[in-house]
Amino acid sequence: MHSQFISRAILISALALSPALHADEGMMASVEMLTGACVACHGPAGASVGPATPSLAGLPAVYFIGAMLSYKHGQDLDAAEAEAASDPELEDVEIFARHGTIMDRIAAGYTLGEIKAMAHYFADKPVALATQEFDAELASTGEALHADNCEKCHEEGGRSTIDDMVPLAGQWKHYLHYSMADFHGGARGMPKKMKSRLEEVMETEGEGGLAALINYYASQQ
Amino acid sequence: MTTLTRRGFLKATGGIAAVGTFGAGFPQLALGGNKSVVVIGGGAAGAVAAKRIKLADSSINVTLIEANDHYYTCFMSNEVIGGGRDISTIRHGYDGLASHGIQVVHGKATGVDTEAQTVTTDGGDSFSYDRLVVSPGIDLTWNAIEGYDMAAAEAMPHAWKAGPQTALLRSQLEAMEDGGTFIMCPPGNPFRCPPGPYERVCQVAHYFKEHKPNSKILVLDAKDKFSKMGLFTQGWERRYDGMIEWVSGTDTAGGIAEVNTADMTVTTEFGDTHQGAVINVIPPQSAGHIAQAAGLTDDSGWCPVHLDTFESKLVPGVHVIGDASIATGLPKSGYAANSEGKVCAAAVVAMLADAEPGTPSYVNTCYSLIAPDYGISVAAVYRLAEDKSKVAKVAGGLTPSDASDEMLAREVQYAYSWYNNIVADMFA
Repeated sequence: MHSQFISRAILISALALSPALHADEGMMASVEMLTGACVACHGPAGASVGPATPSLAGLPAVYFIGAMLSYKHGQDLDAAEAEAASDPELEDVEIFARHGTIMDRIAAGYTLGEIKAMAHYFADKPVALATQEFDAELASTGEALHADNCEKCHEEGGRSTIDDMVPLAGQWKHYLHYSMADFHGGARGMPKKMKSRLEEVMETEGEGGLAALINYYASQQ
Repeated sequence: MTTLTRRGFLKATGGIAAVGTFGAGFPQLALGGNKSVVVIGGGAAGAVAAKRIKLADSSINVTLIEANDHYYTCFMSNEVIGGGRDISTIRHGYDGLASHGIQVVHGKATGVDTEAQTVTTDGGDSFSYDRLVVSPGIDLTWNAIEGYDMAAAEAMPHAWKAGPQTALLRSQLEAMEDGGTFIMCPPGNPFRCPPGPYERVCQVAHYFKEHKPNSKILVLDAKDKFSKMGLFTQGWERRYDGMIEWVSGTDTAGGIAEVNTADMTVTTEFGDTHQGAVINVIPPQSAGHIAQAAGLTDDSGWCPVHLDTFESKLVPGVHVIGDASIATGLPKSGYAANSEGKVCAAAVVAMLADAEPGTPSYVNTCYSLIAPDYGISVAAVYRLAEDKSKVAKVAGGLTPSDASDEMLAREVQYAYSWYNNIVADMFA
C-alpha cells in the first residue's frame, strides 16, 4: 500500500509538471530514470570511481546546467545563453565554451527540464572526494599557489560549494588536468577573474604550477 | 551457496513462498504479502535490474539466479586478448548485490513454468515469482557454420562469452610464432557487441606490432558494413598500415561456410579456403537457452518485448532484457543492456504496485580501444517512439573523424572510467 501511494504521488506530481513542458516532450521521465543514464559513466550517485570521468555529486546546480547547455549547443554559445535565459530560475547560470569528447553528443538529447532535474539530483549529493595517487611535494607547492590565487573564490582549499562555486578538491586528477589544459589552451572559457589568475600562475610557475594545483586538489581525500 | 543458507535467509527476511527442495508440488505460502521478483542471469542487464528493483523498494524479495560464481565482463575482454589487461580485472563477484539484500543463488535456471510462475534450477530448487526478469545473454549457434561446434571452439575460440575462452585466445596468440596469420571471422547481424570484432582486431594488431611485427590479420566478414567502420578503418590505416586485410561480405559471399580444425582452415561461402595460425570464429547467436525454453523467443531466435517495460510480447509477467531482447533501435551493447535493466526495473516496481510505469529514457555509450592512446566512441540518447514501435535516437553520434590526438587519448581514459563505473553500477 505504502509504495503504491508513493508511486501515485510521483505520478501526480509528474502530471502537474507536464503542462510546462514543450508539447512534444510528453511526460518527463523520473529523476532516477534520467540520472540512471549518467551514473554508469559518472559513478553511483555521481561519485565516480575514476580514473578520469569527473564526479557529479555535489556540483552546484547552476554549474551543472551551464555545462550541459554549453555541451548541448556545441560551439553555439548564443543558443546556450538563450536557452538559459528562457527560464527565470536560471539567471545565475553562466555559459562558457567547453570542448567535450562525448558529452556534446549526449547533452543534445535532453530538454532543459530534464537537465534541471538531473542538476538538482546531483547537487543534493555530498561532494565525492576521490581516493587517488598524488605527489605530496607538488601538492604542498599547490597548496601555497591555491592560497595565493584561487582561495578567494574556491574557498576551504577548493572544497567549498558556497555561492555555487564548483568544488575542485577531490576531483579526479585526469579530469583536472584536461580542464586546466583546456582553460589554458582556450578550448574552455572561464570568468575574467579566473583568467587573470591562471595567466599569472602560468607566467610565474609555468606548467609546473598547474601540476602543483592539480596534485593539491587530488591530495584532499 | 547451500540450500540451508538460502532457507535461513528466507526465514530471516520473512521472505517468499518458494521452498525449493520440496519440489513444485509443495504448497507455497505467501508470507507477509511481499512481492517476489526472480531475475535469471547476473550480467550487464540482469545485475543492474536486480539492484535497482531492490533499491527502489526493499520490501520486494529479489532473487538473482546466476550460473557462475563470478562474472567476466565481455567489455574490456578485448584488452585482455591484446595483452594490455589481466583477466582478473574483468572478473567480478556477487557479494555487493547480496549486501543489498538480494538473494543470490548460484545455479543454472533449467525451466520456467509461466502458469505456476516458478523457476527451477539444476540444483532441483524452485522459486516462485510475481514477475520474472530474464537476462540470459546469448547462446552460440553451434554447427550453423559447418564443423563449428563446442569441440571446435577449443581449437578456434569464439571468445564471445568472456572467461576461459578469452584466456584461450590470448594463450594461442602468445604461442603463435612471428609471421603467422590471425584470422577473424565476424558474424552477420544481429549479434552481441557490434564493434567488438573490430576492436579485437585493433588489440591483436597492437600486440603484433609490439611483439610479432611480421604477422598478418585477415578479417573474413559476413557483412559489407560494420559499426564505427569509418573510424576503425582510419585507425587501422594510421596505426597498423599493411597489417590488416578486411574482406567484405560480398567477397566472402556472406561469411564462413565451414571450418576444419585439423588443417586450421576456414572456407568462405564463396569457396575460398584460408589457413591461419590462430583463428577466431564468432558464430551466429540467439537468445540464451532459458529464453527459448520459456517460450520467450520468436522465429528469429530473439525475444520480442514491449519497449516501455521490456515485458515479453509472448508471455505476460515475464520481462526480457539485455542482448536476448529485440530492443528495436538499441544496439546489443553493455551500456544499452544497463539502460534496459533500469527501464525494466522501474516498470517492474510500478507494475507490482499496480501503478502505471513511468516514462522510459535510454542511453548508450560504447568505447572501442584502437591503441593504448587511441580511443573512439559512439554515444546516443533515445526516447520511446510515440507509437512504441521502436526506441528512437534523439541525439548522439561518433567520435569526429578529425578529432585531435589529445581527444583520442582522453577517450581511452574515459573508456577505462566507463568500465570502472558501469561495473560499480552493476556489482557494488
